[in-house]
Amino acid sequence: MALVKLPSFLGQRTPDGLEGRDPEFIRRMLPRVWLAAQLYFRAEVEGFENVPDEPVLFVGNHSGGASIPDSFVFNLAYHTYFTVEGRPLIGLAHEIITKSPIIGDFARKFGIVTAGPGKASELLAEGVNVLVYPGGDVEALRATRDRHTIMFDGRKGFLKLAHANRVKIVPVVATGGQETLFIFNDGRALAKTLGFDRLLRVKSLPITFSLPWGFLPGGLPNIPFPAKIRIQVLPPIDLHDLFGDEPDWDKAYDFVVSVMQVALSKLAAKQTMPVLG
Amino acid sequence: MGTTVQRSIIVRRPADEVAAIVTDPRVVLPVIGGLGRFQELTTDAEGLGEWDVFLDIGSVHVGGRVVVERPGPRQLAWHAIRGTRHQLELTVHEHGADTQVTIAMSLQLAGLVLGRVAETLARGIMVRHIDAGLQQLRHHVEFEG
Repeated sequence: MALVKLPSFLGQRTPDGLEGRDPEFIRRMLPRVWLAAQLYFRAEVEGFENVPDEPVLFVGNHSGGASIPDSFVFNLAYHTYFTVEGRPLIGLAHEIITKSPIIGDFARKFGIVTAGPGKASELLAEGVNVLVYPGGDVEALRATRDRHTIMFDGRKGFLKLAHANRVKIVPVVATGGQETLFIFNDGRALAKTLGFDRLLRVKSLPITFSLPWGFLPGGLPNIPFPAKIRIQVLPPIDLHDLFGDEPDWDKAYDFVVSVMQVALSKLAAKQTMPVLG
Repeated sequence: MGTTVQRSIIVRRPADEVAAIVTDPRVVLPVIGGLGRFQELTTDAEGLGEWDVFLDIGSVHVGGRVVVERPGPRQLAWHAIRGTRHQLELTVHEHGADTQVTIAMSLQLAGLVLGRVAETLARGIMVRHIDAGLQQLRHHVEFEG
């Protein structure tokens, strides 16, 4: 008998896909995540009644650097509203997260898979809900002064994905995540100068202040400041209904971003003080 | 004393089209007042006159009875005659082919030291509410108008 039982995820890597999602693991983790969400982030999540009973593409604004605490809060709320046995939620993430030791395995058991061509379409065809953050690291590392701005950087792949798979977009906006660390500037120029965009697909390298790292170029997983997190799930958007079979992608992009920006600004207006909520 | 906040937004529509909405209190108040409550009281045919306008902020309701006026062809303004003492002005400017809409809001709270503290805290709240109002106005003009 082993003297020390190592966590199973230290023994073998969790598969990167729907097969890697572990409902029992999620069930075991939910109380811990709930405690963090409720006591530390005083989280409020509203609007799940807007989600139709069919596969959808959740489109969120991405905050909190590499720690993305609002993603965990959303995941918790989803799995308690729809239950662990309900329609699976699969989030697409940068490989810098899914391929990290320990954190990557944890994420994959929670239903996070590496974003890649065709991956989301496969998942939607399997009947699951897919969560994407079109802004990626550019949005997650936007300056703190822009924390209440949707910053998708002109990326329209999510629209084409939803349209091609005939699924509705369900926008999700969140505040508070970008107050769990401080970001002083837009780091895209530095990332480009150092070649991070080509070598690591990291497109933003701003100066940040976080715990325990202090000042740092870019963002490493950090201990988040206890900012109050608010999340709002919005009514679904049917691109076929609104923009037809051959959409003007620029118009569709402007519309979806505008809807999300209005909702994000309204959510931000609920805040009395930054961080405190 | 008091505190003033000014915020602007670019709306991708011609200035005349935007001004027609911004200077009509019956259209603009439901749009930018979506975060609180408002009620038309004693007004003329164009909606100018007395309104009740409140923002709901946590445990308090900021606002009161206001007199809505149109100081210029591309301006709408109001000042409080009851409740929280404040003034608000909406102004429309051409911005190339687009339009810049600006909201300036001033607030005076009672009290000496704590009144100043509350005004400082209120600045951030005013900024976020005005930003939300401007975003709703922009979306209304660009996509729902």
